[in-house]
Amino acid sequence: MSSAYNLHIIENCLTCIHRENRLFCNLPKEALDALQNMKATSVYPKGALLCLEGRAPRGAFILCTRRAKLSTTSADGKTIILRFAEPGEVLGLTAVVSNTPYEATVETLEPSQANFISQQDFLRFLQEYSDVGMKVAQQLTHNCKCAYDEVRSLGLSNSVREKIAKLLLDWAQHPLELPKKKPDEIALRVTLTQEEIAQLAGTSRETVSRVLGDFKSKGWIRIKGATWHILNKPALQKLVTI
Amino acid sequence: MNNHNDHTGQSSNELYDRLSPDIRAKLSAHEQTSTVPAGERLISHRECPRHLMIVNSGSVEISLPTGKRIVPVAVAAKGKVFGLRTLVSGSPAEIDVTALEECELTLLPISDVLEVLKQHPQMFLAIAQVLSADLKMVEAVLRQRTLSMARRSPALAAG
Repeated sequence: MSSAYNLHIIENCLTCIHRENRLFCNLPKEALDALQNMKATSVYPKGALLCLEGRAPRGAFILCTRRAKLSTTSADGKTIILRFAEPGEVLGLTAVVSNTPYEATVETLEPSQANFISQQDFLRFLQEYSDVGMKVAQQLTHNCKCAYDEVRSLGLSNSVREKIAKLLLDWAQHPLELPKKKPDEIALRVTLTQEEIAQLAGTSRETVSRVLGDFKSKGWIRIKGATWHILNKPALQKLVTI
Repeated sequence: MNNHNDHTGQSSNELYDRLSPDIRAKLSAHEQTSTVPAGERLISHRECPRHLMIVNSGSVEISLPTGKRIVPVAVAAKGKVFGLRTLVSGSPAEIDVTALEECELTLLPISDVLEVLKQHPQMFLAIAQVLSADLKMVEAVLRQRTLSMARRSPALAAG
């Protein structure tokens, strides 16, 4: 088995052990055979730009491992994070399908493996295999739901404190398995910088720093490097409208 | 809602315009038309529409209910198609769609569209293109609202 950046590279989609749990990859054998023949597998370092907002689409990437962030920059230079892509997601999909420029910049958050498929191959793949067409349509509806959820969340958040509390509670749904000082303590691995959290919450880095400082001083959270602990979940929940 | 069968089909809309004439003809065999008055709710969030709905005339408002508030998303007019999300995933609608004026609609039962889709999987590209346009629309709203929140950020800092 090959490896790079301490990642085991999944070279064969047919034998990938994660396939059945992934949004796009759980395809019938004949479609996987075709995918295996057309994809180019690469491993990217942290911070690699897979798609650039506004550029013509070259193709789509299937994210195999780790996560990537999708961001956009406004005309006045403000960057916001739209969402995070999970393994098994096709990146650059809307651009490739509708032959329009990439809608967002996609950047790897950690060393990651992705399979590249050219636009021409991807469109042929989609039209030849009905299961692929269905998966593509389902991913688009999933992405649409995520975007509506984000709009809903912004519409409900009355303050940046509430928005940041909601982010912490969302992350708490995937806790780290670490020894706990208290039974109700929740450990998280947060690889985002305060600037990135600000881009996600629609605020400034300074405000994020101030809000997190406030949460720490109240004893609601503890931060040690990339390991964060939620110490008082009910207090955070009280800040959040839903 | 007044319904009657109408197999004239072939109206221009964001889905049909991307389909071949033979697939359009197969779909139009299942068409019904309906006229709805201003203010009628065409699609309600959390409910699965039973038809694909094509707006032939008039305009509709797309909005997103968020608790007690309603976020306006867009106004759509002739050529807009609703219900594709339920068609491909069986999921209920995320949005409300309300007629802003009297609208003429084409209705296609989802079960009939699924039958045509089974026979013509090449339809998926057209469906994906329409869903991509929908995704772009909601992401544009998300961008605009997040940026607007970022610009107001100092005032909100105190919570």
